Amino acid sequence: MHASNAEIETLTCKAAVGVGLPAGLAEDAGVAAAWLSGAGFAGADIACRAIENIRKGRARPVIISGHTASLCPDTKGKLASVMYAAPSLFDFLQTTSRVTVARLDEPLLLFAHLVCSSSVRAMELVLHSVGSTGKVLQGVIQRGHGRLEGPPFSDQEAKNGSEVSVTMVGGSQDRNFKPTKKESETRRAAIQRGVEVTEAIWAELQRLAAHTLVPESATSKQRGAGAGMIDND
Amino acid sequence: MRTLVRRMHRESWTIERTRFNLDRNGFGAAVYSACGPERSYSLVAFANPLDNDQRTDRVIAEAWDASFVLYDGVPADEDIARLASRAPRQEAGRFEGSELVLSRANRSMRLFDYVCSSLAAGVQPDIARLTEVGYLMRTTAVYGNGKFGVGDRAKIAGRPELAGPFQAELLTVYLIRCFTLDQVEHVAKAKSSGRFVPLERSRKRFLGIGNATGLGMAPFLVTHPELIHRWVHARESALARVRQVMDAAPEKIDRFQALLTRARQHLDEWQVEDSRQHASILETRSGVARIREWVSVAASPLVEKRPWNRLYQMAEACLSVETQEFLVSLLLELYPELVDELESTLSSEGRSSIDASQSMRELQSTIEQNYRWALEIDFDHPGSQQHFWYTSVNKLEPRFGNRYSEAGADREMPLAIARDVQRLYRQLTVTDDAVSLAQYLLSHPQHRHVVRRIQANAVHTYGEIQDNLVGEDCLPLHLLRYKLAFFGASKFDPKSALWTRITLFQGAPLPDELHREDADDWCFPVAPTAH
Repeated sequence: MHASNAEIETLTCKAAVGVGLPAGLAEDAGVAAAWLSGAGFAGADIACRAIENIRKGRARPVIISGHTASLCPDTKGKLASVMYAAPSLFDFLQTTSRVTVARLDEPLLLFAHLVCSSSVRAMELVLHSVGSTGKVLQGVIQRGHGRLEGPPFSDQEAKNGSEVSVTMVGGSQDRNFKPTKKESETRRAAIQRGVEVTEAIWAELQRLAAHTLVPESATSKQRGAGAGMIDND
Repeated sequence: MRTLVRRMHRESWTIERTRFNLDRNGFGAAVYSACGPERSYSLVAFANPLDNDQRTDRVIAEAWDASFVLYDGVPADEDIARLASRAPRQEAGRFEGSELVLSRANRSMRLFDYVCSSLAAGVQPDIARLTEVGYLMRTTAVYGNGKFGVGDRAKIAGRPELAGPFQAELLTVYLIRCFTLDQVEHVAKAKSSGRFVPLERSRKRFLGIGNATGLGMAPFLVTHPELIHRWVHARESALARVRQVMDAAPEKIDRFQALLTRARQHLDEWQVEDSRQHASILETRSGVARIREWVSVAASPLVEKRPWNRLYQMAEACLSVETQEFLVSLLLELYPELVDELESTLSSEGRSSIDASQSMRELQSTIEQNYRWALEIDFDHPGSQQHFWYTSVNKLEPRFGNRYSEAGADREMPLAIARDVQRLYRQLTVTDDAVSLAQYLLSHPQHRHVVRRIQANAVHTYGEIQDNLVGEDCLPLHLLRYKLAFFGASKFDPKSALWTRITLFQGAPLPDELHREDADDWCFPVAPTAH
């Protein structure tokens, strides 16, 4: 089915709140999911997986492991939830040049978060991810643009998560990082026409988002909106 | 609205009715294309029968008298066929990126049939009846920016004609007005026995489009602080420029006097049932009369240096807040050469991010500086958290509930900014200064949204609504009016503390009047003279 980028962002945010994620983290997740969709990835699917990981207890919030530049899940044997890790990782990058995350569940969503955040802070980063099968993936991020090298991160084996490091490579203004023609066309098509989402994923996100809604009651229906039920005037 | 109409005038836009397949009851489809210098936009309208017991302005409505889509370009027959099955379903339909806005409207039962009968009988409708309502149809929702699959804001943000906030939505409403005026004449003609007369032009121009506005606008204000900052900053900048004018030229004084006369009539014609608003209108009428007295005597402030500043100061010292705002609107009308360019500063596409390099002490200091009003609220007092904002499972209708007597507070929207800021501040006061903001947010992610807001609003100084939005005294109506005022809405008509009606485009030029020299002169619309 067809969806707009704004819908991906909003629905992801609500679904994340629906499983208990704090509003500030959920907002960031929505923005990252929409960016991924607009870049031609299955943003809604990836976000939905990350939300389900939290709901099912597979992924957990992150804590500092050892020293300030290393994040890991707060529970042994669990994955590090990207929805918690990504915003914090970017926070730490503002005062530290390299941050790592152990057992991250969805590295591609982290990549998207870094791209979106880098546009605001004008930063240049390199993301390096090693999946549990040993597959190495790398992405370069610069001031709102991102480019992956190698196959998509979503191919990485997810059971044990990925070991991820993000390194700041300075604010080199001279490096000519511009989207390729294909990247630009993909982005343009997403803005012009929206993106495709499977109905199953859409339904699942809606189901999760429904946890933010308040059930109907007579009082709510009659008085909650301040208007009458019939307006024939 | 004024920005849109000015542009249509400046760029010689044309509005063409390219399809009008309505039956004798006014049911069917119509298309109106608005053509600018580079692009066209088309309103695709569908009118359907509606039982009286189905007619409600609420979001929870399932059917409407008419439904609309603003199409990006000129729709082909297959597009219209596709939209015919989807637009009447509104939120239950799915739309494409080629659609930019989705809307619906209900007929005013007070006015539509009356105007129709009058025209069919060969007489013009009574102006007093038109004044009482002001519109033939009332929109009950106008959705844009990707809602239900329509095109994203990013699609149109780079187009000069739609770059301003809500320009696509307001173009839609302007075209809906065209449709309602044509529809009522069409039905009247079909029902007449040869005596039909078209609606006289000045009466036609006096009819705008109604709008029923509920709580949905309030969360928007809270979640878009940078945008709101820009709106208020533009308004304050405009006012500052006018107040700095050193001398009032005679033609400006004449114009002010003429606008005062018109504004007085506008106020006299502004009738509401709501007692609070009625009292406020009475006070404003009295205030405007005082302004007239001040500027009619030899010692008028208008003969002094910085005359408008002097007048503003007098109003600030002696008149109600509503009258002061009314005066500001008048003053801004006098100097389009100083203020109109500010309309290009109203948009905001950016998104703020957290500056994690800020120290905890700096964050605390920012709160103390900018959120003193929030820190002073006693949140231990039950009344200070009397309410909560929520989204109902019933068609996602935004609602306002009582925390202590209704279920659902555990799912409240994050709009209690004052409370959240205070909670953060209290925690900061007992947090070790050596902890970095990044470390703090890692262990307290529940504060993330409010930290981002505090930092952003340190720059966007008008971005925060400085009030407790969950307190027992909170009147959401004020928030609705605040936003609607920036659209240029008039005849604010509250129906409860949570709900209001307004009129849009009343007095605006009709499509064949857009070229006129006075196309921008329709603020404070007043009833035409009977003839």
